[in-house]
Amino acid sequence: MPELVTHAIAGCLLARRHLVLVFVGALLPDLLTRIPNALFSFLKIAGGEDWVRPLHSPVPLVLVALLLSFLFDSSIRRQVFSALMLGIMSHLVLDFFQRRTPDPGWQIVPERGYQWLFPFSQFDFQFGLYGPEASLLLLPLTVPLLAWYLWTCRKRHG
Amino acid sequence: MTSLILILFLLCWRSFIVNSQRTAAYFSAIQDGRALTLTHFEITRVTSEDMTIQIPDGRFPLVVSPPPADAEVGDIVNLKVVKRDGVLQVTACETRKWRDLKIWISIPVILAVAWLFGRRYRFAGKQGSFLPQQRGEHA
Repeated sequence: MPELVTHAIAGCLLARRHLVLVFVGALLPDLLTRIPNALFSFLKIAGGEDWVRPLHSPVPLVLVALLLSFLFDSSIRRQVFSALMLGIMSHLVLDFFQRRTPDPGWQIVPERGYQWLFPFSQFDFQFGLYGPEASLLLLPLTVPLLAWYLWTCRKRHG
Repeated sequence: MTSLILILFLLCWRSFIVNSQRTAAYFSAIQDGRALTLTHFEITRVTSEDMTIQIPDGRFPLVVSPPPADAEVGDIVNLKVVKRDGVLQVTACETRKWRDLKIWISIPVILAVAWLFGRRYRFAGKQGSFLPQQRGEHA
């Protein structure tokens, strides 16, 4: 995964309305899996990671977005769902293009991948364009670019 | 809502069952020399000749050699291996030295988004749901 700053930036670039909810959606896959994983690793709970892994897969994330949208008033529920899904999709697209093995390019990840097709298939794959920490090294460039983007948006829309 | 929670729980349970078997099968394939890639392993022991790596939750320890020059206990690595003369030989290794920084950098983002959420939405106790804040009204 790229770190959450880059995920938030990607969400921000896509969002037209409900920016905060797009942010939440963009962070959601990692919040639902990395935090429990860190806890399982710390407590040495074997196999705990396997419980939460589907919460980084598209189909269960649609259900999570649906579930969260039920926490909002019915008048905005549909918009909330769309905004969350937009953020989630931006997250998954960024992760799809990240390398999981030392070699770049098309990768079949037979063990401990993102399970894109769960629960229909266990076939795991991704297209590795950049390393897992590449986005971190690009932050000095992406953060000013975002600031510039927000500034121009604000100027345009008053 | 209850149905959704139940479906999600069943999906997680299915993942636990399927992945426990799948991971065990994959590791026996590694030990037989039939599989090549290992992602997100933690180094738990390192010497000049070999190192022990395992899933961070403590499962499937494997001895591979040679360790990368900068390997330290606690590092997370992605690697490729091949079995030669009964030993798992590392052919490519990527040490994720910046991983911790990535985690620390993410914490302020989570806090900032939580703060923005609190400014933008409020929980209406009567309706039992979140509503957008009215203009000029803040949590």
